[in-house]
Amino acid sequence: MGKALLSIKNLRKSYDKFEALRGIDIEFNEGEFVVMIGSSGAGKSTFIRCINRMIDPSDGEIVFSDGVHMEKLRGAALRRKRAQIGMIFQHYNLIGRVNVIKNVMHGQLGQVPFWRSLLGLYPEAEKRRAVELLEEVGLSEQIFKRADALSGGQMQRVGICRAVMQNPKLLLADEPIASLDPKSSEIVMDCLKRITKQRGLCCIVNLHQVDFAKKYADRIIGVKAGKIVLDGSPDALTDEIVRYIYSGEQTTVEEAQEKPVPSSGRRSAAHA
Amino acid sequence: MSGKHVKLSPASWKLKTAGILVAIAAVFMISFYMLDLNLVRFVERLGNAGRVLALFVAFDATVLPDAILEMLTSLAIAVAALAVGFIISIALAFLAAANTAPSKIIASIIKSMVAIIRAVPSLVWILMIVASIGFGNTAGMVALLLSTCGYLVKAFASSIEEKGSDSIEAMRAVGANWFGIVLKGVLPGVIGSFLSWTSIRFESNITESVTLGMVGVGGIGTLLMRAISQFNYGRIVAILAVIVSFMLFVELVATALRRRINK
Repeated sequence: MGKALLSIKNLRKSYDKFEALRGIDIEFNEGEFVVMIGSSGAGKSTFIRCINRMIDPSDGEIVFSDGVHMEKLRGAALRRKRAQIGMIFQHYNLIGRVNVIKNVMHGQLGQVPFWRSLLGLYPEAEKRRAVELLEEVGLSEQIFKRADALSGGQMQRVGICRAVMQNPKLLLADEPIASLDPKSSEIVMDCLKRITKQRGLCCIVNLHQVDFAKKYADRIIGVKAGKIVLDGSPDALTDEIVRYIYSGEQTTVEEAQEKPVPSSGRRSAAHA
Repeated sequence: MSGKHVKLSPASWKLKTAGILVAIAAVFMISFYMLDLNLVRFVERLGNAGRVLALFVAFDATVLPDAILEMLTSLAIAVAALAVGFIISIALAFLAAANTAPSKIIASIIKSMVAIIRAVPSLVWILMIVASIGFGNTAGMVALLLSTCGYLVKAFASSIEEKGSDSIEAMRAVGANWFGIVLKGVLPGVIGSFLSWTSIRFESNITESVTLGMVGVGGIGTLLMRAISQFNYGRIVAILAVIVSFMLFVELVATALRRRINK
């Protein structure tokens, strides 16, 4: 296991009276590929958006290994820190009318002076790196294509390249394959895992597909109603726990493990 | 289910629709009554229309060189106001749109200013401007600039609010500053609709520029007004022909442009 990268203490987020995150304590290490599972509304997206402060937490600490308290940053300091955290979105969030390589270069926006990016004067080495990244994800032919002319799977690979262009130590992926067919999902997940492993990045991925979570994760975190109910290796994710995480029941994970599992419905639970 | 009447919408909806229709009918009746329209007199005097229209069957070609030159002046005023207005409106729209506004106070100030500009007809603006800087093309351009901005800022801001959110999120996440978010994230996605709005505005700018000419600003409107006051029907028809031909040409160009932009 790599060195500790990020430590989160008592993270809370409320929207009016609804508590999306109810006190999360967790640590992430360099080089781990972490998958978070949980039903819609469990708080997964809110959690990863609190890490890079796309959403402001209501309470708690988000501390990086360099001592930076993410929750305390404002203005330019916040932007500088955000620039070191890559993010991948469910709907790719590319700029549709802009070509692929320019979209990838947007990953540098927080790192080069604005006038340079405005005039397209990115450092030559960074431009070369963007081309290499696109080659690595199999998009060397599409470099000058408009982003909105790509398929969903291709767009998400561009999204990955844009995030990696930030030279991050941490990558956050919010449902990166939720809008993709199974084949494209596999290509995207292979890509994401390969790239993060090669570079020793920590990657936190929100997923709904339990089978994908088991296949790719080094560590699985189960979230239910704003709390972490499971944190362990993929083997720890038994059918009972999956059913518990995706059920509306307010039992504890221990109680769920004790319940006998009927033989029918095991698969459907795994695909919940 | 058998034999039971199946409703496709709840009874309360039908009641609501009926209520709305009655209200619209009432508003129509009231306006009609308040206008005190005299349809009998209208029908009686309709016979005069033929005599007046006959006067318009005339064409004074001698005015054409002047008319074309003045039309170009009107066109120049319209284009100049549009070009300057386009740039100002982009800046103001990004400051005013709910999802890109850096400050809610500035956004409200801009939105209120735009609402005031739109509420006051440009003919009234021109009177105020003429009072301060006198008659002439400059007054026309400034008056037209105001109404151009009034229109474009509102249209641009609504395009930004409609389309920007995904790209704004992505640009924020890479650590871009406000200019980065706006110019790299949002502008490429909305520039197409900005140009579409601008081409629509181009047509109304020309019409307004002609109208402003009629109250003393330069351009073909002045020429038209003079012909009207002299009851010179041949000249009026020739001038109108020039205006209509230009407008048709502009309409064709604008439509072609819009088609290209939206591809």
